Formats: sequence, C-alpha cells, structure tokens
Amino acid sequence: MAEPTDFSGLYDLHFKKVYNYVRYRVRLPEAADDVTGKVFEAALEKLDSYDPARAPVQVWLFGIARNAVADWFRARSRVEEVYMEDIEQQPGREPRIENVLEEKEDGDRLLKAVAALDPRARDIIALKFSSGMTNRDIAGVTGLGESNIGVIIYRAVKTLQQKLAGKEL
Amino acid sequence: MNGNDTIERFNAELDGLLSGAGGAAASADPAALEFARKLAGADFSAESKIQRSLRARLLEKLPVSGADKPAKPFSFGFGTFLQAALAAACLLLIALPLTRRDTPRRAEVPPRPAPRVPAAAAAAMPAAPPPAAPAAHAEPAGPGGLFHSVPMAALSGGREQEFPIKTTKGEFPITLREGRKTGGPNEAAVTWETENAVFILERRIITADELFERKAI
Repeated sequence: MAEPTDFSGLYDLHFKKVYNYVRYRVRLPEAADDVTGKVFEAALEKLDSYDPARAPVQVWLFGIARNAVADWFRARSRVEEVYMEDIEQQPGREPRIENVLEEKEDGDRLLKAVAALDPRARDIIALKFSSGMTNRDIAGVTGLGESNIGVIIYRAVKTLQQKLAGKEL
Repeated sequence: MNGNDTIERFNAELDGLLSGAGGAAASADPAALEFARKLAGADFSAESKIQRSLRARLLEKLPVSGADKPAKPFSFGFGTFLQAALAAACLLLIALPLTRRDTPRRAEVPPRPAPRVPAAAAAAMPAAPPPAAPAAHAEPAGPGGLFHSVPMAALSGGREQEFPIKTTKGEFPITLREGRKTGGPNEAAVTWETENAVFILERRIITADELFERKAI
C-alpha cells in the first residue's frame, strides 16, 4: 500500500486505526478522543523528522500512539490494570434500549473482554486488530520477538473467544 | 500438528484475513479464526466526536505547502515579490554598463528639430539664433552619462500678446500678463504668467537624481 507523505493523507488513512487502538487501551470514548488528538498533534510536530527508510509510517505512528496512551495513564497517576479493574467494577451504565443499542453492547462487551487481558496482551491485540500490522511490524513497535508476538496473539484470541462464547459480537 | 505449528498457521491465516487476502481452505483453528474475523471487523471510530474537527484544526497548523493547503487565488507571497525585485535589480546592474558603453558621445548627437509651435505663438517668440556648431552646444555629460539635455535654442521673453487658445468649446483669448526671462549661469527660462496660470519653459542642466529617487537594493 502506498504510504501518504502528506499529513492529510496520513490522517485520513490512519485515523480510524489509531482511534480503535486507543479505544481498546483506554476504553472510554471521551478519553479515546483526547488521546487520539494528542497522537495526531504529535505526529504533525514530528512529521518532518519521520524517516521512511527506518520504519513504515504505520509503525512510526503507532509508536507515537503507544507513548500517548502511556502518557495518558501516567498523567492520571494510575496503573492501567487498576484503572481497568475500576472500570469493570463500576455499576451498570445507563439502561439500554433492546435491539437499538445491540451493536454498541457488542462493542462494549468486546472492550470489556479486551480490558480483562493482561496489559501486554491487551496492547498487542489492540495493535494487531486496529492497525492490521504484521507481527514483524508489531515486534518493531513493541520490542518483543516476532514469534513471541504470534504466541501472545493466538492465546489472547482464544481467551477472548472463551470469554465471549455464546455472546454475539 | 503441534501447538507451535497451530500458532504459526493461525498467524499466517490471520495476516491473510487482515490484508484482505481471504482465509485458508483448511484453517488451523477455524473457530479462533472466525472469532478473529469478528474482532477485525470491530470499529469504534463512529463514536469519535473529533474526527473532522481535529483534522481541520491540524491542517490549519500545517505550514503552507502545495500538498496540504489549497493555493489561494491571487496570492503572491513575499518570496515571489523578492525574487522579481532581485531579478529586476540584476537586469539593471547588467544593463547599466552596457548603456554607458553604447551611449553616443554628446557631440555626435544630431540637433533635434525645433518643436512645432502654432503660428501665433511663434510670432510671440523671438527669432531663435542660428544653431551653433554641435561641439559648442555640447554639454558635459551628467554624472551617470545616461541623461543629457536636448540641444535647443536660447529662450528669451517677449512682449505681451493676446493669442487665442482653441479648445473643443471654442476660442478663449488669454492675456499674457507678464513674460520674463530668468536664468542663472547654467539656466535659461521664460516664465509666462496669465490671468489664471503660470507657465515656465526652462532650459537647464539636470541630473538623474532630480528625476529619479535612488533606492539601495
């Protein structure tokens, strides 16, 4: 796939991917908007220093996104695991209208299940399914081994599959 | 098939699925791959409230470039103006010595014919003395050598006369109130004062600085 070198092309091609990645990580839509905004602001500032010879633009962009998510948790002085546990223990959200918000419920269930994974698996599943990057690219972003990435992805998918068994996605 | 083979095959099939290449005919773990397909289809971006506004805000921050900012009609930047000014200055610097070299010497300039004057006005003017030899009229070239006086006869005042001025609305006589000759060592001029206006016809040596403003580039 041709990689856009102009910022508007970069934004149009990657906004959804970055937003979905951030959403898997921070879960709340308002926080996802906030962090995604910071990701693209940082990307705009650093665009001149991006070197295509060093890494694909997606690897570069998701590296920024991972840092932005880490900054977001750090700014709240909360560890990601604790934050997610708190979220899961919150009382039920607003009453849902059956069949109308079904799709949203599916999304919420999925986010909740992903949030229950350990942080490393959560990060890698979010990277894999939001960006579509190869395991080699994810290894480049995370610093883990490519084969290790493959094992983590498979195990995480099986875990999610079991958690959400019998529930629509 | 051991666990590692299953994982390798699953990841290969997953990459094919995510890249749109399609699933394998016989999957290593069909249930896991089907779940991965649903996972890959999840998209939360419709819930974003900033997608458009963030794009607009960030594009405004972009430095002007052809790729990301539409060109404004009739917008010529300062750079364009500077380039044009520099080009003009360079041309002037190149042309100046050439002009000096090519300017004929003053003594070689043939005298220009006297300007056409209406008969009545000509009658008011004193007879011009015969032109002297060209060398005698030659004046020192100006500082730049670009500008020089046009050889012409000496001017002098005359008696008061009435003469008609023809316009599209008819003839209007103008009474010459005063005509006097003025001049200094290097000047000669005739001043006509009428009821409504003053006309000065003078002949003097001028320099380029009197006509043009010098600007440093």
